[in-house]
Amino acid sequence: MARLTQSRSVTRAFVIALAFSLAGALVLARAGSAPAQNHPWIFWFAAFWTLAQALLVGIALSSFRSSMRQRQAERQLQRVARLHRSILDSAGPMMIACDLTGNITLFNPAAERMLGFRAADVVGLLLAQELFPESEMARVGDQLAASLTGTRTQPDIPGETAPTLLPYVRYVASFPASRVRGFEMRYRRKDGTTFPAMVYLSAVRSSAGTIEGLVTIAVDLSATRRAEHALRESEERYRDLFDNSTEMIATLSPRGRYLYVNPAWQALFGMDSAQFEALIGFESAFPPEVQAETAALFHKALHGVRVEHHPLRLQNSAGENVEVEASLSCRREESGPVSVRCIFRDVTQQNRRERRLRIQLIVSQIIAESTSLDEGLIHVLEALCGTFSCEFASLWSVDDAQHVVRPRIAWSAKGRSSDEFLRDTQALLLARGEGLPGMVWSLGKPVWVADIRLNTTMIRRNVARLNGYLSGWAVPVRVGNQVIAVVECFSRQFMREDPDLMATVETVCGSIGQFMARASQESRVRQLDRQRTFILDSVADGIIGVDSANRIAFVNPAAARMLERAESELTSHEIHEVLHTSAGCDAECAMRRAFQAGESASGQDVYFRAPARSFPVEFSLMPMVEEGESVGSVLSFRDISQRYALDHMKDEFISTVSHELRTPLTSIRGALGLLSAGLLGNVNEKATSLLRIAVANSDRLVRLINDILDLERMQSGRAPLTFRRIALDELVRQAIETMQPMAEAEDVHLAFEPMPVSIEADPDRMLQVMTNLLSNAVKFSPAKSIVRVVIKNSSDGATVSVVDQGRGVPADKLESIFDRFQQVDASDSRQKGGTGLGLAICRTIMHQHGGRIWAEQNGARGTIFRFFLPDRASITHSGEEAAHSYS
Amino acid sequence: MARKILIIDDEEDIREVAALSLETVAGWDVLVAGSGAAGIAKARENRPDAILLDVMMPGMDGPTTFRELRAIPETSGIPVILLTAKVQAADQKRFSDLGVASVMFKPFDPLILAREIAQVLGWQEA
Repeated sequence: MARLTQSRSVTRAFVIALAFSLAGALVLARAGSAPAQNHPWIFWFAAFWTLAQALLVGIALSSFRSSMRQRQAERQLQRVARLHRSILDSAGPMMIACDLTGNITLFNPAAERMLGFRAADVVGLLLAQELFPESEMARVGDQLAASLTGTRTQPDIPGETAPTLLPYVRYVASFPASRVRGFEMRYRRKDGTTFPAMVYLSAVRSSAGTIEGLVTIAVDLSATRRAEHALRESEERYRDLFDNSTEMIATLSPRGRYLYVNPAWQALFGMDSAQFEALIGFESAFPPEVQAETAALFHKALHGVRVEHHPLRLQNSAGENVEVEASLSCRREESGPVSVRCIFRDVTQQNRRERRLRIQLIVSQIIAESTSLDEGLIHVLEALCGTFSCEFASLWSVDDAQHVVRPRIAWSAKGRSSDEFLRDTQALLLARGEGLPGMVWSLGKPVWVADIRLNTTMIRRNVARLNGYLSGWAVPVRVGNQVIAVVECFSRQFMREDPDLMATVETVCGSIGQFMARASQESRVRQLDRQRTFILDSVADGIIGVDSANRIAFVNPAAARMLERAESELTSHEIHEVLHTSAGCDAECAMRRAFQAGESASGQDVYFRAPARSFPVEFSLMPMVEEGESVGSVLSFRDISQRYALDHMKDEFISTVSHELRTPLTSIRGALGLLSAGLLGNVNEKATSLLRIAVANSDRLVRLINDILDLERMQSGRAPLTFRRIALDELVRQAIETMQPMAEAEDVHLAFEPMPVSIEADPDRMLQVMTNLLSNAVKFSPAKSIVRVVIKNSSDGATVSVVDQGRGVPADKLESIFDRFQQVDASDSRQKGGTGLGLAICRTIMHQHGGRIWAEQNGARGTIFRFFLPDRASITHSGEEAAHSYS
Repeated sequence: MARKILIIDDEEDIREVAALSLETVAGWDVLVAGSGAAGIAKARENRPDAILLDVMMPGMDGPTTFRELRAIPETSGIPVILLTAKVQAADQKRFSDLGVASVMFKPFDPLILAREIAQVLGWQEA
């Protein structure tokens, strides 16, 4: 505009000069005809005009040059403006300018992008505060204002400045125009969302330097913020990691001053960071016994040697033993070591666990591999010492019978002598509560001796000191609740009480207890085994054990002797092959069947020593059953050759005696019979009576001889039964028929209600029983009375009752009448012609059948004789019967 | 015609009682011999209807005598009844296995001896 004004005034001056020049030329032309001398004023006029012309040309030239220059400047200006515009348009940061009233005067494309407004909607239309969240301008303004307090001068602020902009204007006014200051502010987008931005604020100043507006250049801080946040997070994480690490971490200066200690480190030593910082050296934090060691570690690390997992034993602030693995390394720069990193890892639990497992494993192995108790125990003591840094250990056995605890075994490490201590230990015999072992026995719990010198309980403390022992402990060995032994260990180092060690040792002592109990059981078993061997070796009976496959597993010397073969020759052979060699048995061989069935059996058999050399045996076979499974059998047998011979002799003798008794009796009985019958001529009445007596008694004598022989043979087992399935009712009927003549003679009626019963029995013997009972019943029944026979069948056998109405048997004789020669009345045998052996024979026969016989009173009058005959089939084939009963 | 019975027994008393019994009760003719050898001779000579043979005899015992009798054609068909005081089961079995007609035991009832013999031999007249 100034340039335009300037150009117009130049043009006006030029027009005036041109008009003046034209006027001068006209004047000169009119006066040209007259000489100049005629008109002197013309001269002056021409001179003045010429001068004016020259001036005019000069002005015109100057004006032209100025206008040229101006145009050039304008072009320059336009170029700058374009540059500015393109800067504004392409700038990344948003640029916003406003005047002092707050009207926005500039809004670049970046601002459009960031805030979501179009420049056309903003410039001249919106106020600056509308680009910020509510009260944001006030908040930042307050901060800016606060930052200005104490500033020396209060710059002049134009009066039209909007109140909201006041602090900002003051702020920019407070520093030179050449400086730009930044601060953080939140902007609000068109959609209402906000974002943080770094705002650089500067003033628009007039040429006079007065502030006419404000310009902000703002950069979106969202991404930066995020990055910062991430960084902070990351730092937090590392800090958190260190602070929460269970590893103890410390950083030290090369001079050994603590620079950083994490909480775990602080907790270990029970000191805070400040206390550590006050320490003069790395090792100062440690207990005296490890200071030298830790100082050495520090120097090693400082000189570039990495210390890795160096084991250290410390006490923590609570006085507990802590085992750590120390790792130290040095951070170096070109100038030299910068710091020493120190990481301790607490391996107490791990070491304890490992130690516990190791010692338990060792002890288990020792126990498993030991052949003798003492050998095992000495190794266990050695292992305990090795694991727990002790040099002397002993085991004391509790002797309950003597009420003392006595040393059983002791172990001491090689090297420095423990002779005196060992000797004194072995010489001691302690009562309950006396000395260290007695105390542990009495308390039933471990005792720790931290310092032997101070322990008054320990009787051997002086000699222990003499051999250099400083501390020790003793632990009870229990089986169940009973203390059976005490283990004690001593060390030449001071050992602080370690409950965990005690717990481990107690576990080990549990194993020792089991070991000792097992050893004692084994010793008892061995003793029993010896006894058993002795018994088996010394018995006269042959004993053979067979396995489940019926192969010989064991043979006692008597069996080998009887079979005339070495024990080794017999074992692992099949039992039947050995005993029934060349017996030519088929599959039905009772012995083979008994072994195969795994049943018990007994009786007599013939075994073979060698082909064709047999000997009679009496045997007993017992199956061995373990948990319901047959694991073999035990056969015991005895050679009864001699008994056979004896029996044979006895039989011969009895046979001969019988024969020799019967021969004269035959003559007597025959002669008397013929005489009494009167066949040889008449005999008078008295003689006839006497002859009848003689006949009856000779008959009785014959019966007596028969009965005695019968009973003897049955009871000696030389009259074996011949079992057969019989119809019991038929047998009874047969007996009744046999006894019918006698019953008729006595006028006694024999009654029987038949009932079919099939049962296994020896028919001859059962008939003998039946006739015997009927004979007795008839003999003792009054005339016209009835003797009834009743059969009752049951699932397991049959019961036969013979019921009479005779004089009865007194209650106290119901049992004794089955004994030999025990009749109700001593005169019965004489009167009734009995032998006094009939019922004894019946009972023997019933026993041989596995049954029984007994007498009962028949109410007020008479007797009931009953016998029960078990059905052998029902015993062995009950299953089949049950099956039949369902079909 | 009366039956002819030969009794072979070393005991004279028994021979006599038995003979008396059979003669008087059954009315049979009775021959007696005191030993196995004598008995065999008598049997060959007289061909009795039956022989009552004792078992325990000195020299030739009952079973041997029986086997001899069986071996001789003239006597091989004569039924033989053993009359013995040996009553044990084992003995009984041994005797009956010989193939004798029957085994009878001493002492016997003289009144029924003949009847028993007739019964086992299946004679009708008794």
